[in-house]
Amino acid sequence: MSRSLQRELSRALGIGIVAAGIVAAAVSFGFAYRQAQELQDETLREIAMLAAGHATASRGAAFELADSRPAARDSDAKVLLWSLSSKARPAWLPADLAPGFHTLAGESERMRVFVHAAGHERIAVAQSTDLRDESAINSALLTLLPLLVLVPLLVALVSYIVRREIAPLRRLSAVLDAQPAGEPRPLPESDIPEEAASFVAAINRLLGRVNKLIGHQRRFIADAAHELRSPLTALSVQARNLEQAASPEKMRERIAPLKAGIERARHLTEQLLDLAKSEAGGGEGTKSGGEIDVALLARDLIAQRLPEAGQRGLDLGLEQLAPATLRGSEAVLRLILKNALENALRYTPAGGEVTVRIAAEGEDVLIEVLDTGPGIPEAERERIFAPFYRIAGSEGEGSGLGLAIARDAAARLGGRISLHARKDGTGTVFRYRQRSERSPGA
Amino acid sequence: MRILLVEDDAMIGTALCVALRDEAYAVDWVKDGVAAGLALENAEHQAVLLDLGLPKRDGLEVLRRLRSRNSKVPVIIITAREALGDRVTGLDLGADDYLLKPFEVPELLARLRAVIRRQGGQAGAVLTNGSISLDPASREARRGDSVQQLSPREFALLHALLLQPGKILTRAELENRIYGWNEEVESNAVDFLIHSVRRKLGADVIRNVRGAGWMVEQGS
Repeated sequence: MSRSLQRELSRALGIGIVAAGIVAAAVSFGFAYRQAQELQDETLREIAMLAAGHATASRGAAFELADSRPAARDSDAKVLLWSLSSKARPAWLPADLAPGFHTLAGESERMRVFVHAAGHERIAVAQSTDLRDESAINSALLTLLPLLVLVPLLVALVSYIVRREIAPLRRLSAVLDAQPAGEPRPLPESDIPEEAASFVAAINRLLGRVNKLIGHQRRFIADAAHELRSPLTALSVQARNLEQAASPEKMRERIAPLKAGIERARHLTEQLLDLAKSEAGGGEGTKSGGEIDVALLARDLIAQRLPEAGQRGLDLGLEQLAPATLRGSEAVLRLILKNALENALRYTPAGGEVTVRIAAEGEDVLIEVLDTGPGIPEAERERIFAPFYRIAGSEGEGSGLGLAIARDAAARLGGRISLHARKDGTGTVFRYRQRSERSPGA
Repeated sequence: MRILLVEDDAMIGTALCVALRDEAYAVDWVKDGVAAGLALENAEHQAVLLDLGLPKRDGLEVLRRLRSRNSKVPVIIITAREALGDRVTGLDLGADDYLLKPFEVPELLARLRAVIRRQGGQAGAVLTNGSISLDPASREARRGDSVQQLSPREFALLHALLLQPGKILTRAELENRIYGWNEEVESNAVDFLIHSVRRKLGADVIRNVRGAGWMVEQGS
């Protein structure tokens, strides 16, 4: 079961109040009990004094106390009075009892006794302890009455206050629950307790980011759906053309464009998946992975692309100016360079040259892909990173996703991608820059 | 029948050219809005297939300029733009039809035939001058009880003439409708086609007006 602030607060405060009530009751009871007994002792003493005074004031009368019966008997409080020298005193009461308070075992019950010495006469006043206790308990119990009423009242009050203070949070959660997942609105920030306000503000900031992301994703999906239409249109027309071919020769002629169309659709799908993977990867695992030998990776990529380069009449090569080792996921770096290389091969006219160059600059490793293509106008060099953006009028059926994928992937590795114009003629320099991995000994 | 295809996607453009030529259309293909504007100035096309997302000049702007010159050439927009607003704008700017990518080729062809037919002032699918009828969907020509299957080029020739029965078309006009820009036209190609149509349907199907050109009779 989850923790409920309201339940826990109510319970803790309730237990606290009841515990405090019990302690207060115990203490109050104890005090009242003792006080009642002191009061009773005082009464005994006063009775004794009065009796003694009476006795000395009318000599002889004191001796009347020494009857066979107790000298006097208070019917309610059952206070017994004897003269100690009298023969009427009960057997349990010693004649030489010292003046002051005593608790003695009586005939059938324990007795509280006060002995008062008045001249040579000693007067004992006795009262049953049971009776005393009973009356003391009764009066002590009376002091508990207000507590008994107050404790439940307090518990109810606390639970009401807690509920009331928690109510804005409940309302917030109701508002949150009612939010459409696709486009959550910010929570109301008025009428929120101060402690929760920062929390609500944080939730709202999160919702803002979520909304931005959703908007971004939504645009991306719309763009992706739009982009899928082109290869599908091509495929649909190409397939129909093949179907309509009048002769086997025509049919063979028409298979090649259909294959190219399938390849294009495959490439777009792959790019979309790459982008999804790279975006899903988000921030995690950015620095994971081992050391990457950049030259080895570059040679591998070049070898893979060599047939395509040959088909397009392009000279593809490697130029290694410095040894380079990077730390990170090789798959991610491969994704970056693959897209750079694909772009270079796609947009460089036949007879051109594409070079992968590995260089060092300060602590950074630079991996560049240089081409002799038409170059990218300066105004386009930033926009071209947006998904599906293609330079107007450019030849070739790129998906418009390559650079967006590369930039995402670069961000994951902690590197940076930039595009530059070649200084030694027309063409583009794709540059990936990342802090190099230095072995600890070096 | 000569079509202007305005499409910036090379793969779709190539494939559409093949598909349209299969159906006996002469196709000229341009890849951007400015080139489309230039091509349309000559008014040599009987229909335009217009993509909207074009480099240099947007397809809707091409359409707006075309209609502002009072050109009546039928325009079918073929685009991936799905938004209702685009469709409405396109039609309001004077497009005759709107086809969303990806489309099926038979549907494109049917719509193309429909806009061309309406352009010629004929409501029915089959073109006729009273004695000869031509079905653009099947490329079959009928005269009396005889039904003949025409080759794409033969069909294009007869179709051009039947669209405006009674009107004389010159050799240049006929060549213009039958062949696209990049197609080599031999000097006697039109004569050759007329000969083969006459052979299939009868010599009097197409009348030669000396020094002027050719026509089909307007049916009574």
